[in-house]
Amino acid sequence: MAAIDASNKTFDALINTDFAVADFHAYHCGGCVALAPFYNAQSNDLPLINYIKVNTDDYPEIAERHQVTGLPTLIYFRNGREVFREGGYMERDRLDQNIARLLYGKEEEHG
Amino acid sequence: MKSHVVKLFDYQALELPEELRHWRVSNGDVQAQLELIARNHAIVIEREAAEQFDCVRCQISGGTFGPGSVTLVYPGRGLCPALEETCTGIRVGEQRTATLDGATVELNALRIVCMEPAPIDDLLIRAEGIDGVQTVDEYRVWWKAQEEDKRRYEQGARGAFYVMEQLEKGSEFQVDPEELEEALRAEAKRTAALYEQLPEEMRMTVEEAAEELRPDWEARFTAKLLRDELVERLRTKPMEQVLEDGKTIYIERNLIPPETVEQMVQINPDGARETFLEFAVLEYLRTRFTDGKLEV
Repeated sequence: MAAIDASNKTFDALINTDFAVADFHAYHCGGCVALAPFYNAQSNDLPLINYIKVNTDDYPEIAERHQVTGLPTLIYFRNGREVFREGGYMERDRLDQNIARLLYGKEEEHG
Repeated sequence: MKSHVVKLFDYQALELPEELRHWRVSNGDVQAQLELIARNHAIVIEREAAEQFDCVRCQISGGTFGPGSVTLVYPGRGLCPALEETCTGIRVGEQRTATLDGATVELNALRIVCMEPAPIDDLLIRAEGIDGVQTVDEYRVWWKAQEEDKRRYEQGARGAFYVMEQLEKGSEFQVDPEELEEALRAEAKRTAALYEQLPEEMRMTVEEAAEELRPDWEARFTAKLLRDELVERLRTKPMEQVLEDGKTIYIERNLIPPETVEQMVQINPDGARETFLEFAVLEYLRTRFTDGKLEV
């Protein structure tokens, strides 16, 4: 299932589930453009995780509220709470490692 | 200036090597794209028992998992092989035990789902919302044309870099040692001035900057001679326009906000000028490729 574009109205509802990931990106961001195919492919492979995209040009308020200071930034949520985040371009292997950390990581990250 | 290009490598009939010439879109590529859209519009289907690549939502306890924890297991995806192996074949409501990092964990399957790609039909294509594209056949034609344009652009861009590499390798230069050193000192001064704005521990003196630049300075110097020579030979517009075009391409290619580029021009006008000229030359060469052949 393709990643969902979030807006100010939908973002909180989208993260308020077992597991969610939000990709904060922008038009003028080469790393974001390069990351997108890997992120989209992972979203197609892993149902029941909400994959969200936040265009920070269109919705800077969400980025500000979540203190996103660089792009791209991926924030991993469990039950609506941030578990961890990682910034910068990454490929599928790294995305898979992050999802494994979200699903099976340390106790303090289980929420 | 005593330094100059003595002989320009004969690049006009250059052909791209085979590995840089792929831009055609095959029927297989089009089909793969349609299948990707179908996966993007996949629907979640409930299952009774888990097969490879399904998703098992389960309650999990033991090890590092506290009571009431819920997780997702994806058999065959390689995210957590121990749990995936345990969950293969599990049925909704079934409990199983796994060993994870030496600890025993209990799993109870709450829900099992798989993703079923949407059928590839006209309805799927209409959901994409592309102006004038309503059917699968129309999409095939539309996407093929789009993708070939994109690949031709990329091939031209790769070709331009290839031509510049060949020019740098195959041209002959006369390099005046004094001019070479003078240009190095000027660049070192610029670099040291830029570092002035950084925290003290990161700053460098002109001497230190010169030593950093020295190892590949001659290559950079001759590349600049080459670029200036090409601009003079090829340009059909005033230099201001060439620079403006180079700036536009630089912004487009690097996805840099225009205001950041303006700051770059203010901080280091000479460096920015060199960058814009480089992009102007590369763009000129890119647009001269047809089917892997350069036509200048």
